[in-house]
Amino acid sequence: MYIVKRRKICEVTRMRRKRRKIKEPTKQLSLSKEEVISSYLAENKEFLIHSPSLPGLSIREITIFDGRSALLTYIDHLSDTAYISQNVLSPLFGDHSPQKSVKDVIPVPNLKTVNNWTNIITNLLHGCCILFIEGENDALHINAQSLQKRKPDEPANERTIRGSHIGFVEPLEDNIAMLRQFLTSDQLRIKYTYVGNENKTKVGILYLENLANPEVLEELMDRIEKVNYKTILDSGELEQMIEDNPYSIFPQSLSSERPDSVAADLLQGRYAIIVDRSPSVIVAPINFNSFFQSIDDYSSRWISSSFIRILRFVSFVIAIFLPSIYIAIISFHYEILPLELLLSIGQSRREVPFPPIIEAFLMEFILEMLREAGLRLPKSIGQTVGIVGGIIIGQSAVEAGIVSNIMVIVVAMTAIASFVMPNPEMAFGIRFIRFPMMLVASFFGMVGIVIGFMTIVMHLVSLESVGTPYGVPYGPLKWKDLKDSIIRFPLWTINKVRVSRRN
Amino acid sequence: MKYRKYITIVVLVPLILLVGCRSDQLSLERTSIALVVGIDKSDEEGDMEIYQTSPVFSREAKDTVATLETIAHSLRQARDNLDSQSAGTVVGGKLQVLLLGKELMTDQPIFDELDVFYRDPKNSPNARIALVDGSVKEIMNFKPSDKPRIAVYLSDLIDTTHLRENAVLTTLQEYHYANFEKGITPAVTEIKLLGEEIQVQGTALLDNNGKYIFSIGHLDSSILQMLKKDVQEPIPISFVVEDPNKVLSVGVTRIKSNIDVAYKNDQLTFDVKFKLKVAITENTSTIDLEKDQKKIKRIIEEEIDKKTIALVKKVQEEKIEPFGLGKYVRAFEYDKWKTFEDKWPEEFSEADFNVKTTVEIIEHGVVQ
Repeated sequence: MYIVKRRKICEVTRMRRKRRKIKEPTKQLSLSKEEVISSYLAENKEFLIHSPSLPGLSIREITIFDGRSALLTYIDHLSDTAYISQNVLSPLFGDHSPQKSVKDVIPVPNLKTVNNWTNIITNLLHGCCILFIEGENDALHINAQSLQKRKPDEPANERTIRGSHIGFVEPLEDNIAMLRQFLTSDQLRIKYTYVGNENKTKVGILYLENLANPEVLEELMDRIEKVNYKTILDSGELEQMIEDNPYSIFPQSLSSERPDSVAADLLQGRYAIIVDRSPSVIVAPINFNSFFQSIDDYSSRWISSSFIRILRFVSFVIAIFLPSIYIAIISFHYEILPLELLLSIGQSRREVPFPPIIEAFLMEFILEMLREAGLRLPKSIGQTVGIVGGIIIGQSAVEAGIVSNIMVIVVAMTAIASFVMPNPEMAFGIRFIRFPMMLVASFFGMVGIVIGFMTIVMHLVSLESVGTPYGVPYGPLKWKDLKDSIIRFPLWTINKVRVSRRN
Repeated sequence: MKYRKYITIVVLVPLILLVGCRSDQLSLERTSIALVVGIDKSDEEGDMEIYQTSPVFSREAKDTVATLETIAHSLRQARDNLDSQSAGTVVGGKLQVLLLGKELMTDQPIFDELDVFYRDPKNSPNARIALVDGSVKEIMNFKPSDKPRIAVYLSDLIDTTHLRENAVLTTLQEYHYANFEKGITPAVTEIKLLGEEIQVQGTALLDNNGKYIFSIGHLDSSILQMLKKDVQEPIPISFVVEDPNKVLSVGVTRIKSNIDVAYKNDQLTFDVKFKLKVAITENTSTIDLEKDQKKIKRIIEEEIDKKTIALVKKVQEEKIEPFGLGKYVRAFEYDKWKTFEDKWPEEFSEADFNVKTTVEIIEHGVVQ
C-alpha cells in the first residue's frame, strides 16, 4: 500500500539519479559479431585467430570418429582441460558407428548449439568449450568452466554462537544452492537479470512467492534494469545503485554472507539479491529494526535475546550521543552533574588547554584513525597498533595534559558501544553522525542535541527501502511487529507476524 | 531555482557558526561554582557580609577551595562584587548549603533577601539552609586537614544528621513552601563551630518573615518531625532512667502519628496519638527488660508526652507553629480556618493540645 503512494517519488529520484550518471554507452563493439558462423572450418579458424577479444585461445584441429575434421576451441585456464579431454575428446576419438550424431556421443549434461559469433565469444570468455564441425552450420557449446572456488567458511564478520557455520562463496549458482538447502519450499522463485554496460554481471533475485510482495519485486527489477554503470564487481556497488536515498548515512538494505540469515529474511517476505562473484547477498526491503536483529537472537532463549536487543538499542544511543552529551554538560549544563562527579571532572579538566569540542574531536579522530589503521594490517602488526594507541592515548595524552581522563573514558565507551552494532554499515553510519552531533552540542548545548535527535528521527521515519517505510514498526506504528523489536517475544508469539509481513 | 540547494547551504552554515547564544557557553573550568554561600550581619546598617566558597580547578593552586567575601546590599550585588574578585565566572547552579548568621536573622527577616535564589532559574533550589550559631566567617574559613572540602563536608553532615532525625533538613524550595503556606512556619537546621568541629545543634525555628525565634535540640527535633509526620525510621532516642546517668536507649522503628482536630466547647483542640514500636538498643540501668516491660513502656511514654507538651507550650508562647498543624484545621474546620488563616500562629497559641503515646516494645536485643 505504501508503494503505490511512493512510486511517483521513486520515479523522481531515479530521474534525478539518471541525470548525474554517465552518458549512454556505445551500443556495439567494432567487430561484426552479429554474423553467423561459416560451415567451412578454415573460415571459422581464420576468424577466431584474428579476433582481438579472445586472447589465450586454444584451437585444436582434430579428426573425429566419422572422419570429419573439427575444431575444438577454449580459453586456457578458464576451462577445465581434464573435463574436456575426458568428456569431449575421448568420445570423439572413440570407436562409434559413423551414423551416430556427434551430440549423441558427448556425455555431458547440457549441450547446446550456437551459430552466431556474439554468443560464441561470450561463452568462450565464460570458460565454455566450442566445437566446430566441418560442414555444420551450428557449433556445439559445452560448459566446461573451471572456476577458482573456495570453501564455504563461516563469514569472519558475522560469527554466531549457535546456528550453522556456513557462508556464501563467490559463484552465484553455489550461493543459490546453499540457500536452497535452507529453503526447500516449492515457493522459492529466482529471477535472473544482467547488469553492467561493459561487463555483464549475472544477478539473481530470490523470493518466496507466497510471502513476498509482488509490487516490491516490480520496483526492484525496474531499478536493477535501469542501472547504468560500467561494471558491477561486487554487490556493494549494486546496492548503492538501487537504494532509495543515496544522500542518507543510513544503509537502506542489508547485506549478509550467511545463508541462514538470508533464508530467515526470505521467510519474512523479503527479497535476496545475489550478485555473481560476490559473497555478500543484498536483502531488501528492510527497516531500521533489522539492523538490531541478529540470527542468534532467534536461536537463544527469548529473555536473553531481549536483553541483548535492549543492549543494542542502548549502545546505539550511547554511540551517537555520549560525546555530545559530555560536551553539552561541560560547556553549558554543569548543574545536572552530582557534586562529586562535577568536582572530579573539574579536576581532570583543569590541565587541558583546549575547549571540550576540540578535545573531543581530537580523541574521536585518533580513535577512528586507530580503527582504520588496524583494519587492513596483518594480524601481528594490528596488535601493535592497539598497544601503541592504547598506551599513547590512554596514558601519555592524559599525563601530558592534552586530553582529560573523563574524555578518554567517554571515547572508549563510545567505541565499545559502536562495536555492539551487528551490522557494519549501520555502525559506520553511527560513527559518522557523532561528529555533527558534537558540533551542535558545543554550539547549542542540550537544545542542540535535542534538535539533532529530532532531525535524526525525522530522517529515519521519512526514509524508505524499496518504497516501503524504513521506520517500521516504530515510524508507521505496527503493534504486531513490535513483538520482534526492542523486546523479542517468545518465538511462538511472533511466528504469525513474520509471515504476515506483506504490507 | 537550480542553485537553491547551494544557496541554502551557504546561508545556513554561517548561521550555525555565528550563533548569537554562544554567550551561554561556559566551560566548567572557567567557572567559579558557588558551593556554599554564607550571609552574615555587617557592621554597616542595612548591609550584609556575603561569603562564597568554590572549588579551585588548577594544578598550581595549593588549596582546593577558594573563599571570597564581600559586603553588599543584596545577593546579586554581592555576586557582581565576587565576580570581579575571582578568576572564573561566579555561578550558583550547584549551591549545596546556604549559611545564615544567627545575628542577622535575629535582627531582620531574611526571606526577602533570598529572592534571587528563587527568581533566577539557574540557581539550585536544592541547597540546604543552615543557621549558624556564631560567626559565618569562621565556618566559611574552616579547613581542617581531616575533612573534605567544606561544601561536601557540610552537606554530608546535615544530610546524615537529618537521617537520624536529630535536626530538620530544609532546602530552599521547602523553605519557600513553608514561608508561603499559611498553616506552618519555617524551621531550618542549626549548626555551630565548637572548637575544631562543626556540630549540628538541632533545629532553629523561624517566623513567617524568616526571623529567628528560638532553637530546639535533637530530641525536640525528632518530636517536631513526628508531629510533621515526616520521619524516616529508625530514630534513636536515649532516656536517663535512674540516677546517676543510667541510660536506656531505644530505636523507634515504626511511628504512627494520629492527629485529630476538633472544636470542643468552642475551643480548638488537638488530640495527638503517637504509636511507637521500639527496639531497645542499650540499657545501662538496673531495669530488668524481661520483667519490667510495663515500667519501661511507661517511662518512654511519659517522657515523650512530657517533651511534646513542653515543646508545644514553648512554641505557643513564641507565637509560631513549625508543625504544620494548620493544614489539619484547614482540612477539617475550613469555615473557622478562613476567619484566622492569616494569623494562624496566634490562633494556635490559644489552642488546647493533648498527646497520648503508646509504646510497644518489639525487641530488646540479642543478649539477656
